[in-house]
Amino acid sequence: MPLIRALKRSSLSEDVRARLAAVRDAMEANSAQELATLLIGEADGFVRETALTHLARLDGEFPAQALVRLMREGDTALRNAAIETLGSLGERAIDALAGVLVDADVDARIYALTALQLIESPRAAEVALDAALKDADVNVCAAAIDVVAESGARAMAAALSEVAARFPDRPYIAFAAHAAQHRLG
Amino acid sequence: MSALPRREAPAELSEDEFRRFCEFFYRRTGIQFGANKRYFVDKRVLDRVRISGSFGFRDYFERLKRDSGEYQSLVNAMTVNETYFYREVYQLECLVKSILPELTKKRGGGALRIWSVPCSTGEEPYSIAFFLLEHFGRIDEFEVEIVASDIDTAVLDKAKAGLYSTRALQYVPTATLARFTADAGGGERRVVPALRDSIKFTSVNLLDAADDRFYRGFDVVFCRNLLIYFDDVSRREAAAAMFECMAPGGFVCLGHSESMSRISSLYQLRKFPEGIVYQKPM
Amino acid sequence: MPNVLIIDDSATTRMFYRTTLESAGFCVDEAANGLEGLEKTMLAPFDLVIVDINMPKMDGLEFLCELRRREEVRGLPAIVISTMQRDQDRARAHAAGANAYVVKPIDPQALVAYGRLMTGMAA
Repeated sequence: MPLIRALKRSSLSEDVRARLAAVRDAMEANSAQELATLLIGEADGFVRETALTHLARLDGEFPAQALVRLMREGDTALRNAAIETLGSLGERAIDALAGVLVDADVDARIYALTALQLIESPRAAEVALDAALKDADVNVCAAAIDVVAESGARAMAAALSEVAARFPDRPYIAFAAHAAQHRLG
Repeated sequence: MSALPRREAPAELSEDEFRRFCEFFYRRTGIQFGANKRYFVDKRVLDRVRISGSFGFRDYFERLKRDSGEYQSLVNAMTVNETYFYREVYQLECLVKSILPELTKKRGGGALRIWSVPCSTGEEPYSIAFFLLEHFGRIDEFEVEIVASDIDTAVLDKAKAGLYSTRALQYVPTATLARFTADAGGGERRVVPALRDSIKFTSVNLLDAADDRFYRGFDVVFCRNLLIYFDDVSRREAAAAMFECMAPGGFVCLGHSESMSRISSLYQLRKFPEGIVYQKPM
Repeated sequence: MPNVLIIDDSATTRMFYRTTLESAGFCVDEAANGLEGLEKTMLAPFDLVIVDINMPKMDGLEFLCELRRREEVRGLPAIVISTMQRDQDRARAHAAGANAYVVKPIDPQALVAYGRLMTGMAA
């Protein structure tokens, strides 16, 4: 008796259950695109986490592409969850993220670098250093410096001084470059 | 960057390596090591560097991020795994003084489902049972069900046997021990049969539990020192699995150094006098 | 000494704010995301919180909503310091409960000035 009452108490609302069922169907089909489409505008945290963690488990390049789309199109909460999930994909997300670094939207470039920092890979650092030396936006370069600090090679230290020199009137960049150099050893 | 031949591995980490390691470990597990733990950390980390066949700290650090087996070995090496009754008793107090009163405020009776996962060798579920029987005033009004689960059947067998050393029981008040345990000889005591039989011990992997309707509607989940062993994605999945297994308004208690803030955004933060816990929204 | 809580997912940014504010006589604590920040506000009193917008687990907007929802901390002054510079970003932050909004990167002098202003410290 008590067990059945307990089971009844835990049911989700009809609406959420329907959306969860749609997510589970997409998971069964291993469809990254479908999961991404369902995630846009999905406000329920549980449905979102279920879909995102499943995306992280899918093979191939589609998950990264799907997550980059969510990073660009999602609201603040979805965007940040997508960035975090991109970080978990590791190396295979680097190409998709590198593609965003030439986007006209400054925010998008910063988000991509935030994800690259989570990837903790020397290749991510190479991509980031390139951005830091070329990008016109100071916050993009700051985010790029953080990636280099996280996963860069010692040989990158000198280039960081160049980055700082690009923004002489921005104390934060000098601070960040110096901190990154210290980190690289 | 030169690779160190294994024979000449250093005896200690550099200041920078110690700092980087502590940052990494804190981010993953919530466990913090101060400067006073320097020797403790250096020794264990360098042991792992050696055992894993890494060329040095930097090589090992890279390996850690890719190799979940090594990561788990590291966490094992760095954490004190001793389990005993009434460990982190403030959580049991929180259960009785804050969590249960809130859960039962509007209920006149019915089921209260509590889940201890992983239950290991049983100290935790039995501690919960002892504490509730001793301190939860309304226990007779409710059908309290304690489910205790672990993926490891060997520890489950030990838990079912209910046999413990005086060392494991040292923090339990004598009167409580007299009430719920019996002398088993050889300095050991055995939990009384009625109590052993009343706890449901099951073998399950948390990540798969939500597939089984038995694991639903939990009002309180104790999940201590499990999530620290997982990588980021598995941790989110585990938190979501637990969420699915809980009743709306249910509470989750993690280990002392752990926090939901590094794991999952699904739960609501609640502050009680005894500490911070996380709740599944109503 | 006023207590300031810094919430930002960038360790470098937190370090920058910390060194700047500590030199100016503030006591500083840190959190790496909004949820961790919320925990900290529950455990100790602060005079000011500086919060980023884009962070994992709980972003700055949600943090502000949670802060304003909770009686014991709803009056805590909050400055948002974020890379986002559109009017709508600023409006959203204010709607969520920010007292001030600054676009990154902030200069050390400006950070200290804001800190003093929001905590009522003599300049």
